[in-house]
Amino acid sequence: MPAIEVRQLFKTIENSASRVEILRDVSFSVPRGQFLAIMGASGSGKSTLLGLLAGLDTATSGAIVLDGTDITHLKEDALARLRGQKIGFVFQSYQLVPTLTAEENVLLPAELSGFNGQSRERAHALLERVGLADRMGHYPVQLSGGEQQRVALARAFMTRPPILMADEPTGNLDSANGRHVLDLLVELNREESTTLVLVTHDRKLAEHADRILTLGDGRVLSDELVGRTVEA
Amino acid sequence: MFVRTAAKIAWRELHASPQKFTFVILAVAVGVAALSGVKGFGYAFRGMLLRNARQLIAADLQAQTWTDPTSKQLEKMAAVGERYGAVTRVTETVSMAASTQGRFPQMVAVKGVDPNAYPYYGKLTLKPAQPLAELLNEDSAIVVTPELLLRFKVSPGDTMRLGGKEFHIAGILEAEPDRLASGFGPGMRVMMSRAGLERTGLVQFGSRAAQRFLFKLRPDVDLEAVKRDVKSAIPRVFISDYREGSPVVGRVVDRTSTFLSLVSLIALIVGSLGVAMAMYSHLQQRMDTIAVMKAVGARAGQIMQIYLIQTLWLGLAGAGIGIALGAAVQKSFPWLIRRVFALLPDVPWDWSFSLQGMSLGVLATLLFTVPPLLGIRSVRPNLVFRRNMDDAAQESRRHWRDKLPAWLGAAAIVIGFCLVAIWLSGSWKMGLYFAGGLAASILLLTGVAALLLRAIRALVSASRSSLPLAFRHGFANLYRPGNQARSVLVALGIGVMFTLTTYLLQRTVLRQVESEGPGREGNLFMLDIRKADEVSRLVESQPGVTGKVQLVGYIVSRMLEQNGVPIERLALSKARKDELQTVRITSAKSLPDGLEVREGAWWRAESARPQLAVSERAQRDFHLRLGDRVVFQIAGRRIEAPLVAVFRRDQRAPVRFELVFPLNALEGMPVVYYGAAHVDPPHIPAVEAAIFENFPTVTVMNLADVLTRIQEAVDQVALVVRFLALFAIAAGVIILCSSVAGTRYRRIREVAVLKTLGGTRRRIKSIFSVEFSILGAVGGLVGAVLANVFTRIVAEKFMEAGFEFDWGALFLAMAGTALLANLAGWLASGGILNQRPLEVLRGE
Repeated sequence: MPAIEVRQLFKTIENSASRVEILRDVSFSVPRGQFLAIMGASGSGKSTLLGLLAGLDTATSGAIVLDGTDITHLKEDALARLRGQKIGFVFQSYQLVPTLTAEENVLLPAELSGFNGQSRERAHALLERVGLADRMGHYPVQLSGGEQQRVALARAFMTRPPILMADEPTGNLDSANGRHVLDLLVELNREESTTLVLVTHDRKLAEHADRILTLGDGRVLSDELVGRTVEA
Repeated sequence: MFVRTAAKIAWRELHASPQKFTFVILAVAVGVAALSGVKGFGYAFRGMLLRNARQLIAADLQAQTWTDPTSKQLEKMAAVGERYGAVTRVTETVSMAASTQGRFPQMVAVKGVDPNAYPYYGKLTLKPAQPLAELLNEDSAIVVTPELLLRFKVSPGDTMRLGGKEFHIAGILEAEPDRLASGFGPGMRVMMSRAGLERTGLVQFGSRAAQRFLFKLRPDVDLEAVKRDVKSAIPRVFISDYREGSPVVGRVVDRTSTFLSLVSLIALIVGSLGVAMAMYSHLQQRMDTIAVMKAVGARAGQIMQIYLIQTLWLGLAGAGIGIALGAAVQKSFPWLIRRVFALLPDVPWDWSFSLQGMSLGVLATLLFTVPPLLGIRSVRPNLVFRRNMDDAAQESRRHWRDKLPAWLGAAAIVIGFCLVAIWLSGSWKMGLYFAGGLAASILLLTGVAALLLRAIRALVSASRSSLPLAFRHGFANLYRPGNQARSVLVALGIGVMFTLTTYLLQRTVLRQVESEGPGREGNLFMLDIRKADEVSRLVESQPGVTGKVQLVGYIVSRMLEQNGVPIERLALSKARKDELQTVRITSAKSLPDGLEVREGAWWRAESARPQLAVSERAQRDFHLRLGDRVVFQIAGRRIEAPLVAVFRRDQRAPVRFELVFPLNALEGMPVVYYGAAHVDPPHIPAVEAAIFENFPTVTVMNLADVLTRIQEAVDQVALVVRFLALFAIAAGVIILCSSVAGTRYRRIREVAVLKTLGGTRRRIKSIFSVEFSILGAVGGLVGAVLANVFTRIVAEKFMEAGFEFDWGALFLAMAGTALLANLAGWLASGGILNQRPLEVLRGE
């Protein structure tokens, strides 16, 4: 069973003036443990696709199956629960909760999904892993951009989700910090055996992936295993 | 001109976040509504009194006295009437009455008039619509109010008994122009002819009756001359004429409307506080825009123009809505006080009060936005390079603190509101007291709120891991940047404090009456008793009566001489000499309870020799010494009595003893007795009926009725105050809405993040509910604690009453305010749970 399966996905936005097809007939599947990079120019639909994969938005038609669960017709709360159990998310602009400390931000998904394992120890271990053991009690406003994104990384891995999604995770960082975050992401992904879907417009970043899916004008333009092309 | 650009930017910003500013406008509106409503109503009422002055006294001039005039005085009065026009006498008193079918008597207000003359002005509304003289064409006819028909279950044609005589109901008295004039106030009215009143035997020497002489004057008459002549006919009369309106009612209305204006000012101040907070948070969110404008060359003054224009528009819009609401408040006032005033004015729209309300609303808004506007000066253009809003906020906070302009702004607010309070109260002293008291309350509330918030924070930090998620996040949200928890607490606290203080004071008054009032002497009071022994015997023989009936007799007299010197020649002030014209002499056998002899000695119980004992107060006021020989005129007889004792009166003594004679010394004189009996409550109606049957002129009141009357009076006042205090609470709720709406963007983003991380709607709802509940509960707590403290101070300092901390009210206030805060919070958060996370996160 693949980790992610996408079948004939369409996403259309309509308003009184116009109708825009953001995604057109997108289909692919991602095996467990694979690192997939989704590439494309601005407006190609890659972030929309990621949002749909995470159940943050609903498709106009088509189906998405995550870890064996068809999420296409799930209600909002069921989607939230599913995300809590199966998906970790890293955003371009970190999205930490400003009223919580670094440690509390990392603990948050575990608390939301009722994860009752050794959560505090795990949070500490993850923060240590991303090099922030000494900043656990700091609030987001007291951390630099790179540090905030590392807290977000630790948060994403907190509940050991089988799937991790990252939307331009280094987009707001300078090259050194970006490199550091990417290395951490790849290493953690390997250590935790997670399926990783990364959206980027940076070819160099994408080349770290096992496979690159390129979107253009809402369609899949190419789907290549790094080194060879696969059938979509 | 930059003003046009400033206006354009101001308008676009207002347009961009309509929700946030709606609450600002409403906050101003409630304050203006309360204020313009109260002022407008007070003015309209005063105007009504002046416009209808002749109708309200049913004459051009009225002279009122509480003593029965002598026949000589009546003759003189008639002569004055003839000289200047015409005069008629109206007598009002209270009495027990019963229907011939029903057993149980009730108290009614009796009015005896000359139906051929009364009223000179105004109209009696009678049913059937015949002249009063036709309805009261015999001395056994009466007209009565609809309330009386209802309470006695009688109808026109039925017979009533008053003063032992039967009267038939000839018609219904639906309205009476001078109902407020005598001071007897509303109640069940029985109107009869003067001959009818004499038939009842209710008005005798020493009875409590108001005598009003109504004058209809010829147009060319000099009012001052009439007053002089009236004074010489009956020296101690209270005169009012058509130029003054109804002076007593007018004074009451003036005082009440001043007091209520100040209560309304609190609502306006709380509302303005909301505007200041909203502008502060708005400016914080606009910090980067301000920095950009400064970076491209805008001066602080120009940017301030933008926000000043914005504030002005908000103030004007709020005041505009407030005036419209104020008209509704004005209209609702007659309803609120309908039981106090039988006659109520039509409340016309008065633009001058609308204008005043408008100016005050705009002024208050501007004053309160001075400090946040001055903060614009310290925004640095280099913020443009720092995207993080929190940094910007901190930056501005750091500069904010030690800035002189902020303090100047605060001073402007305090001085501005002092002046407004002085203007509203019409008194420097009261205005300053009010402003000082309010400033102290706000400071105290702010301090307590800050302490409580800090304590909660410490508590939560200490027990972080053991608290449920919703609680931790709810608490954490109180410290969210841009969340004005402290100000919300102050605003809610003020509202709760006022509402609760009114309630607690109201309860304290009633409790005091219950525990320390006349209840100790008995629960059934009897007035106007002539045959003391017979009444005592009758009452004591009734089932349910326990113990002895305590009756005290008094007689109204006039002091003529002291040691042979006529009173007129004594070295006393005119007021004191006037007092001696009608002095009430109480009779007592032995030294009554609650009295302590300080000088001389009390007489023997059986003594029948005229002797005088006086209170320390009377001794001081009338310059009396032990051994003085004082001459009184009592029931037409000259009686000389030596002063044999001076006593001190315990504050709680049941009877107001001032001048006392031996009981037996007043034997054979028209002594009137009053007193009380202890009766088991279920037996009270039967005892009342028995007294009415045998002694129809004795007025009987039971404690429960008295308490009900006091409660009704206190309730009326409290209702009005609470109605206005509600405006302060409304302003607090609106501020909470505004604060929540101001952090709407952050909340939406947080909801999106929480949803992305697996948070269900229920979870997220509980987090916000905890936040709102804490705000409400803490606001309620602070308000309730201060209300208890204030009530205690007032009770102990001004009412000599005890007060116990009211825990029930405290918990009720906390729960109620928490509920209210939740309603308000969710109202202002409308739709944030429905946003799709992707839209929000991509909108960054």
